[in-house]
Amino acid sequence: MAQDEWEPRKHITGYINSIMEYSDQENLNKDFGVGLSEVGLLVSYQPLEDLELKATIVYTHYTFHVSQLLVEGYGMYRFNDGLRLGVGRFLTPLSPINQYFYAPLNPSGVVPMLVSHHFLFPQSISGFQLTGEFEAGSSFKLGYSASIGSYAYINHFEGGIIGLQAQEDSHPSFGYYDTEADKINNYLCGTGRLYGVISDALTIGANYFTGDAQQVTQDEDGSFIYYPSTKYTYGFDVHLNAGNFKINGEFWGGQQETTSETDKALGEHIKNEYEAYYGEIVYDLDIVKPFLRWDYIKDITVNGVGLPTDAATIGVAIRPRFETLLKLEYKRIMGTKITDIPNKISEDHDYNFAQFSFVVSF
Amino acid sequence: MTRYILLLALLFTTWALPGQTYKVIVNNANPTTTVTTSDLSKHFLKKVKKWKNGDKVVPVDLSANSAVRKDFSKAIHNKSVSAIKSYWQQYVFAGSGTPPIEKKSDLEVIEYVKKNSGAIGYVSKSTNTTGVKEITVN
Repeated sequence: MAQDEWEPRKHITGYINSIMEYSDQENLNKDFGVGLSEVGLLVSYQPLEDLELKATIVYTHYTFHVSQLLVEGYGMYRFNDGLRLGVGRFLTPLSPINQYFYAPLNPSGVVPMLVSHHFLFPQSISGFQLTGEFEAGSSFKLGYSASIGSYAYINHFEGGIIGLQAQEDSHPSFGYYDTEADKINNYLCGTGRLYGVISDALTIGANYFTGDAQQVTQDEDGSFIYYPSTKYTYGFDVHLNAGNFKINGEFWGGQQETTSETDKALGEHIKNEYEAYYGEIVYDLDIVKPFLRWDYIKDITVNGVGLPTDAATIGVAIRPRFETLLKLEYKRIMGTKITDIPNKISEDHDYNFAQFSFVVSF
Repeated sequence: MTRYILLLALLFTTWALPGQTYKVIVNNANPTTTVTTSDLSKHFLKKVKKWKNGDKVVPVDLSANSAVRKDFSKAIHNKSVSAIKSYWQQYVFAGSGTPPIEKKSDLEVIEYVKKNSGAIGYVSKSTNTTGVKEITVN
């Protein structure tokens, strides 16, 4: 009779990503940049079969505070397949699209706008998480996750080298937005996700995020003032594996509005509605992965003007061996530029973006 | 003449389809005797987590530079070892799974399978597998 023996397991993996990127967007300080985009390091340790400790540290070109480096740091205890409890800091457990955050996992060198802009859901949450999966027959799985904790209110946190990523919509009107100069507060929040997996081929999910937030306004001197608000967003995602094709689609909406206390202080009620979606098709040839992607996002600026922005991307990822990954892509961004803020008049403003990325994994 | 043609065809088939270089093993307590290529792939990718008797499936891999693993990966997953490592990198970063434990030699794989009732591994075809059970891959 076998004596099952658990051997403690550790896993170390990571990556280094250098990029070259170009854009003809006219508000940029520089139109061409080369540099280290990200370094990621993941360490996990499983001393017991039912306990996992994990930490992920990611340095990016625009890191401005040491706390940002810790993307994840948690302990997860498994009671059974249907119930796992985690404590610590997590990559926000909403759509699986969040896994695109790490460079080796994404055929594109750029994260979809609805992820990178962070106004629909934050990158990480600190607190508690419950998650689990239930199998119904051999071809259907139902899973869930729920979390409560706090998040850092950071929108439009710039990425890449030239600082365009995550600011694709606001650049045409306002140019570079310095996240570091913004006031970053932490707020209470909660998330919920329910998903089904059919035959390991089709995943359909529903997501919900709610939390306290901040409404930014400008005083007569142009200084930013932050007022208490509340926010909720919701999203639906579909992921299909059909032969060599992988299709991902996602739609999110939601709103942020000022609290009654803020309304009294401001003398008005501010409510902003958000919308974003994303669709992608990847042809997976093992080593070569060409892909097409369409992005759309509509954020609301501090001036209360919407800036709907589409982006069409064509690219290819080539991974001849596990350690080396090359990505090349071109993006046409169809943005909006505000020409008259008081009267909320805007016009189309299209521009181009191209990136070459080289990722070394270990 | 027909005999020579058949002999040539056999020689060609032998040359074109090199023999299987591995054998798949499970714990002696496991009642399984055969497994399909598709199910075997699912066991090693942790897409099927339990045996029919309810035991947890515990796959064990040879190290990534093993020639036997390269053959196994190509034959069972129809993917290179690099592609399988990339697959697991995705799961590890996403926090939704960890790769099978890796062992450096056939003997270590056999010892692991002996000690774990739900274990499944593979070793080179010439290895003596006394103490574990070899199963057929269809």
